[in-house]
Amino acid sequence: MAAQLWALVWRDLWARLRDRSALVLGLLAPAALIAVFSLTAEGPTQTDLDVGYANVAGDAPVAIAIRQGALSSLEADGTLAVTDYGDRGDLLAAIEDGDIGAGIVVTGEGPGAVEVIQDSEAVVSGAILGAVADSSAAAVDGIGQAIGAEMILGVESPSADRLQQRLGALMSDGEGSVTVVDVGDEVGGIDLKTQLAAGMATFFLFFTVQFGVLGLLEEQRRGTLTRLLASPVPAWQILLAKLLVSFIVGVASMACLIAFSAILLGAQWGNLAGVAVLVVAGVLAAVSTITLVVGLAETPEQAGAIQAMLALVFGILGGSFFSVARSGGLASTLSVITPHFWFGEGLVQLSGGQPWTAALGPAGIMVIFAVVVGLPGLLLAGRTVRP
Amino acid sequence: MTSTSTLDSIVAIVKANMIRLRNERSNLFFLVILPLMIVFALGLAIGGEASDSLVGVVDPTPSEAGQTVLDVVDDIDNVTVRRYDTAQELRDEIARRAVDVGWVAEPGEEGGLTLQWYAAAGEGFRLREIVENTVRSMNVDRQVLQLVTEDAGVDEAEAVTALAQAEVFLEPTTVERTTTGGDPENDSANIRAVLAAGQLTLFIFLSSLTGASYLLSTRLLGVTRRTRAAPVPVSAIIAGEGLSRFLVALLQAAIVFFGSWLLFGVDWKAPWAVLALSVGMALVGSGGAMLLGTMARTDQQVGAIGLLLGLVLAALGGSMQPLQFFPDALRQIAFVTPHAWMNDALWRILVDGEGFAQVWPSIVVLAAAGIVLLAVASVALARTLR
Repeated sequence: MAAQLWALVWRDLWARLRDRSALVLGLLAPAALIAVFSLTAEGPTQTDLDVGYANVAGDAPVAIAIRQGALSSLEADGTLAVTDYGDRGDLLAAIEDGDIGAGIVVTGEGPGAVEVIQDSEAVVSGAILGAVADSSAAAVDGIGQAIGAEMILGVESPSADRLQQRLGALMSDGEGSVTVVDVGDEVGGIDLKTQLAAGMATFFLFFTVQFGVLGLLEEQRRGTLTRLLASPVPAWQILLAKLLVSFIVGVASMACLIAFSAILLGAQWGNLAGVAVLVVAGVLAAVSTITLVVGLAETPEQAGAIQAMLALVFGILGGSFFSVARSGGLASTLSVITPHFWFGEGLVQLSGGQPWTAALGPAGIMVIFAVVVGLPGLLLAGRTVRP
Repeated sequence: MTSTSTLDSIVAIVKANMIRLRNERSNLFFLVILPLMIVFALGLAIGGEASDSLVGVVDPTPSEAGQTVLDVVDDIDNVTVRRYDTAQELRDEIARRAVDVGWVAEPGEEGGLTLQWYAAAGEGFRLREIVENTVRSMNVDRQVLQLVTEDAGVDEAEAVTALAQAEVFLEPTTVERTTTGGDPENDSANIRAVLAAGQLTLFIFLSSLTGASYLLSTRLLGVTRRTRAAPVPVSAIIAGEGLSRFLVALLQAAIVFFGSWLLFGVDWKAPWAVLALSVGMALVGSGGAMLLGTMARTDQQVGAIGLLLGLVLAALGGSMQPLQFFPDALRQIAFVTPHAWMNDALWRILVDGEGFAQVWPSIVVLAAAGIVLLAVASVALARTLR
């Protein structure tokens, strides 16, 4: 009995391997897209933000605080690349020419006056320089105030330099009432590369699983199904064989793509057993979808077209091409009906070194999807193999 | 055979192809609904708020200090703040990259505040620098108080009084902000147009290639050979099939062009230049489709290779993510695809405000590539007919 079943499965698998379209859709196309996406995901070469500085107010304390304090430390840690200009006009011209995105001009000495100029599109450079100007101004004013207060309190020769040094130390230690603390790696989270690879793998999975169940309709048209039904092979075995082919092709495609993206592109999938659970559940969901489609369709072309539509709609909604979750609203609510979303969610749960059991929740939802869609699918597709 | 009857044959072949196209109902989905749905979804997902840097904030006990930091961040253009109730919610959203960075505000002793900083893996947005500098200015008062109490050896109350007296004589430093350049309000409209433009390129080529199955089935069923026996000259068959593919490509271009303009208000800026580019791309697409329809042996092959080339070249050619956001080396390589020529020209039209006068070289490149492909495909198809 089992021998007959495996003979059917093996024959179909062999035929798929020879007709290279399964390889193209199951491996080549997704692998190529994963590769392209992971290259484009790196974005333009990250350079420092180009900003400018000009001082037309001599030795104003705020000029020293800005240029030798905040700006030079942001320059040192690679956030900014600072160019010095002789006057406001030169700096403005550089912004208009697109050489720099934003600049700081120190315009007054007593009282200190600072102007932050930014191009309307350089929002990040502008905001950083704005914050730098504010914090430097606050520091300089704070020192002025401290000197005044110390003179009132009778401290002998309060010195601006000394106070400035000590305030600088306090500021760089981050000492104060408001502190920013890194949560660090414990957040876990999925990196962009893995997210894109998972999106492409699940998107093409819904095309790949066609090579199997869809064969029922093709064999029906060619007349080979009738002959098969006349043989001593039980009808349920014919259906099961097609389901198994879809399942095996789907798992093989996912496994190869996961290995490809992990080994060659550095995608980080997380706990392998957990990923395996997700793959099995995801493939079950995809196979159940194509089973229902085959049960409803009359010709292989029709089934192929419907499955392609579902694959595209699910893929787009489920975030295979772009994150729907970012947009919020209706689209991100709708995305939870797709197995694609839950596959990605499973990877999110596995990220940060979680054990395989973290994938069980999302995998369970994909299995529920498979049951809800697959049972009517089996009943309908079962009619095709009735003698 | 007279030239009139050759023309009649071409028209007949084109007509038969168009009727087949119309009769297949799934084409309504693939040619009309799908591309417009993607333009719409992209507009939602990337064109709107989602292209902003998304900042998540959890602040269960709002404080003045927390609000100050939030105001600074909220004031930055292209930053959208979303609020969450619990740290777990924020953590999950960051883990699935639905939010880029965020913080949980936790009140400390004596009105202090700790911001626990979260960032998505590999996130490149420099919000942290902005927040840190903001926090610095907020901390100055506290630090100055500490200096004065230490130096003068007085308690905090005395120091506060002295500082308040000193403040009267102080002329505070002023910080003025100036913005130059265009109106950033137009940016989101531009981005929507660029995204629609990418889909215009993608679908002209993809729909052409998947349409190759018509030519394939005509060949496999022996229709082309029987037409040849009609007798219809080989040149008429080739012209008819080529023209059919070209018309499908143009139809697809028109659907995306007018659909995104009329339904989603995409402003094409220089419509004639965009249409000329579309015609160039349609030539490339129809050449590719004829070649695929001639070389392929099964319908599955056409489907698989059509999807492979249609999506991979589109991704590499900047249809899914603008070329301007590519790493530098990859941007050079991208120009092996026809898509990059079209997408680059469309970017220059939509973002840099260029027109026909500047982008015509791209149109020439596309048209030339299309004509070469069509010529090669014609020779290949002619061989199968003789």
